[in-house]
Amino acid sequence: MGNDLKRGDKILTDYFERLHTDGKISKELREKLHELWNQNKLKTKTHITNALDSMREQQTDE
Amino acid sequence: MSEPEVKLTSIVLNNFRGAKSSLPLDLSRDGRSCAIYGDNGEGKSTITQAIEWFYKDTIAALKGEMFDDKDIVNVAAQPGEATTVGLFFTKTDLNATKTFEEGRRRTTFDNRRQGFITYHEGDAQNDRIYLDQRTIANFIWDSKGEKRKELAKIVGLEDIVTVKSVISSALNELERSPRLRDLATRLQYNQGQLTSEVFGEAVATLGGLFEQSSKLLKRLSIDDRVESLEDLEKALRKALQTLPADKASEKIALESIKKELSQISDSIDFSVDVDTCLASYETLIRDKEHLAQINLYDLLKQAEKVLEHDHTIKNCPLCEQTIGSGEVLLSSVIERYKKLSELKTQLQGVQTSLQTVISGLQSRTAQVNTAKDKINERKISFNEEALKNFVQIVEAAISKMQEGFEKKSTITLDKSAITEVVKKVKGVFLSVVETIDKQIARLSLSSEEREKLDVYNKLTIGKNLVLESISAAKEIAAFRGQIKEMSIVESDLLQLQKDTLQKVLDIISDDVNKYFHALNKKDGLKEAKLELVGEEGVEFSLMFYGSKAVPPRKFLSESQINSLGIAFFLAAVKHFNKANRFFVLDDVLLSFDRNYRVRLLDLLYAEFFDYQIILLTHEEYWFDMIKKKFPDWIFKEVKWKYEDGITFKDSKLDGLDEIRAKQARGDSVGNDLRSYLEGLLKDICLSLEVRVPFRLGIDNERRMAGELFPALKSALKEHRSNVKDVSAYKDLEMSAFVANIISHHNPDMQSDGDTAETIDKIAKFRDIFRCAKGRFISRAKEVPGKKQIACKCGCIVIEWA
Repeated sequence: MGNDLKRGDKILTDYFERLHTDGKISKELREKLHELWNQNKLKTKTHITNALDSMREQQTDE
Repeated sequence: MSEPEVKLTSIVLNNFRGAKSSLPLDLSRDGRSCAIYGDNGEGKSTITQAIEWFYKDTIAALKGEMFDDKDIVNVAAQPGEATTVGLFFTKTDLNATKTFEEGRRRTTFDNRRQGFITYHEGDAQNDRIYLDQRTIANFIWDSKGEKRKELAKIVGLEDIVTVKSVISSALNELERSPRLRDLATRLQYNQGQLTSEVFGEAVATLGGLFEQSSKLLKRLSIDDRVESLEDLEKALRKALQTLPADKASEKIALESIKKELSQISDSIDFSVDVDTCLASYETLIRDKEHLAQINLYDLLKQAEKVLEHDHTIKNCPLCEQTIGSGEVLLSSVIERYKKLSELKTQLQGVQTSLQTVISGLQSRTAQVNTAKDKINERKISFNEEALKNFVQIVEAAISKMQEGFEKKSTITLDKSAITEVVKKVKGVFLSVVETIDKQIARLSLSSEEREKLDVYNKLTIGKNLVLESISAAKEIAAFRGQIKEMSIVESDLLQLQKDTLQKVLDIISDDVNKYFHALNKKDGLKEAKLELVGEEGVEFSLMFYGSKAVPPRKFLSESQINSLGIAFFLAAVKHFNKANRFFVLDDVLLSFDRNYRVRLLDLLYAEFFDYQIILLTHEEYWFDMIKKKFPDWIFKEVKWKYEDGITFKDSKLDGLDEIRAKQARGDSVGNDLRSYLEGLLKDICLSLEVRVPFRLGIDNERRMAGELFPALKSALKEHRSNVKDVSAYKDLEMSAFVANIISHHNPDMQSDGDTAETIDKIAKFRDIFRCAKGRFISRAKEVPGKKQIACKCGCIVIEWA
C-alpha cells in the first residue's frame, strides 16, 4: 500500500539543510551540525560534545 | 511511492541453527505463501532467525552475555563447514547468500552488486518482516518511551529519535557541566575578592582594571597611563623596583599560601553534597525486598531466552509450580524483566551521583595533603594530626559509601565526627594564617614599604583576578550561548519527532483499529489506536465499553492483548514496508480460541491476499484450518534430529491421499475414512448453509456423517440441485460405506477392494463440491443471471434454485 511518509534520515537531511541556511543559530554550530550529520556522526554523543568543547575553546581564546 | 514487491522464491540454509548441511525451502518462482507445521523444538524458528540474521546480522533471541556469534552455527556442524543463509527472490538480481566465517567472526555476502547493497542496507533493513511471540510481548509490555523508539524503528524514524536523544544528551551535559559550575563559582569568588580585598568594587572588564590600576599606581608615585595589558606589565615592573626585593618576594609567597588556605577552608565542608546524595540513595534502597530482586535481572534475562525456545514448559523450572503454559510464563518474565530494567536505571543514576560526591571528597583530601606539605615547607608549626585525621575520616566515609552501595545497605556516616574534623581543619588553617600574618609582620617592613607592598599585591592580585574573571565570563557566555542554541535544535527535533510520529500514528491507527476489530468482534472494544503520551511517549489506547483504557492491558484478556500486537504488526507491514512483500508469522497465537484463529485467517485473506506469508505453527488443528482456507499455499511439516538437523516434508493438502497411502501399506483405514467424510460434509454443509437442528456449543461441532448426509440431501432437494442426479453423488450415497455410517455399523468390515473403491467414490463426491484449488462451492457465490452457485474462483458450478 505504501504512504507518502519520508524516512527519518531524509527528514533529518532536510532539517539540517534548512538549519544550515537559516539564521536561527550561530554559523559555527549550524555548519558543524550539518557537517556531522552528513558524515553520519550524529548518532552518538562523542562527536558533537567534542565539537562543542572545541568551539568554546576557540571562542574563549579569541 | 512505489509498492513493495520483493517476494521469496526459496530459502536455503547450511549449518545454520537447527539446519544441518543444506536445507532448502522452495517457495516457487512466483513466491507462494507457505505454512509450516512442527512441534515445539523441531526447528520452525530457525527459518525466522535465518531471515532476521540475513537482514539484521543479529538474532534478538540470542542477544546477551551467555550468547556468542558462533551460536548461529549448527551444533553438529563439522569444523570448516560453511554456515550460510541464502535468500532467493522474485527479483533475481537481489539473490544473495550470507556466510558466517567463524574463524574471522565476520559475515560476507556473495552478491556485491549495488542494487543488492541499496536494497539490503536501505528499505529492506527497516521493513517489518517477522513477528513472533517474544516481539509481541516485548512491544505490549514496553514502556511508552520504549514504544516510541520501537515504533520509530518500525517506520524508519529511528534516526530522528536517535539524533534527538544525542542532542538532548549533549545539551544536558552542557547544562550540568562541572566546568560551568566551577567557572560561575570562580567568577563570584573573584568579584567578591576584588570588592573586599583589592579595588573596593567588582571589576569585570579590562577598562575597569586599567582604571583601578592607574589609581593604585599613583599611590606608588607612578603616573604611567595604563591603557593596555602591556602598559600594566610595564607599570608593575616599575612598581616592583620600588620594593625591598627579599622582603617583597617572601611576603608574596606567604600571601599566596594564605590565599590557598582560605580557598580550601571555604569549600572544605562536604556535608550538604553527601546528605543530598545519600537521601536519594536511601529512598531507593528503602524497599530492600524490591531492590533485592535486581539480582534476578540476569536470571530473568536468561529465562526469557529459554522460554522463547521452549513453549512446552508446564512447570516453573525453579519452583516447579504449575504455570499453565510457557507463553504465559514468558509474558510474565518479560514484564518483570522490564520493571527490573527501570529499577536498574535508577540505581545507575544514584551510583553516578555517588561517584561524583566521592570524587569531590577525594579532591578535598588531595588539597588538604598539598596544603599540609606547603605549611611544612614554610616550617610553620601546626596541628598536623588534625589534617591527617580529616583525611582518615574522609577516606573512611568514602569506603563506607562504596561498601554500602555494593551491598545496597544503609550508609551511615558519623556526621558529628565529620563536622568536628571539618571545624578542626578550619581552625588549623586559621591558626596558620595568623602565624603567616605574624611572619609578614616580622619582615619589619616600614609603613612606607608596607604601603608599597600592599599596593603592589593589590595590583598583581587584581590583575590576575580580573583576567581570570574575564576569561571565566567569556567561557560562561560561550557555554550559555551553546545551551541556548542547542535548546533551539533540541526543541526543533522534538517537534519534528512529534509531528512525524503523529503523522505515522494517524496513518497506522485506522488500520490497527480495523484489524483489532476484525480479530475481536466485540462491540464494546472500539477505537484501538496508538497515541502520543506526554513529551515523548507512545501508548496504545482503546475504548473499553465506554471507558478509555490506557494502557489497554489493564482491561484486555491475554488473547485480546495478543491480537492488538498482531494488529499493530500487520498495520505496520501494510503501511511502512518499502521493499518486501512478504512476512513471517512465527507461532504468534497466544491463548487464541477457534474464533480468533478463523478471524485471523479471514483478515489475512481479506487484507493480505497479495502478500507472501510464511506462517509457522505448532498447532495441527490450526494448520488444517490454514490448509482449508488457503489451499494454494505450500504446506510443510518440519522435524529435527541431532544427526540430520531439520528436515521438511511436504504436507498433503487433502487427507484422502494420506488415507490412500495408509491403506496401500495394509493398515486399517475405516475410522480415518469416516472422520474424513465427516470433515468433508461439515465443510460442504457450512459452505452451502445447510440447515441442521440447533445445538448448543461443542455439541454443534460433534455432528456425524449419519446426520449431515441426510441434511445435505434434503438441501439439494429443496434447491432443486442437479447434484443429487450426478453419478458421483449417487454412487457414494448408495455405497455400503455410507449405509453403514448412517446405520452406525463399523465401516472396517469392508474388504480391501471395497475400501479402495470407497476412497475413489469419496474423492469423486468431494470433487463435485470442491474445485482443484481446494475452494468449496459457496451459497454466497451466486452465478449472475443463472440459478447456479459456484466456488470462489468460479471454476465449478452446481444448479441451485
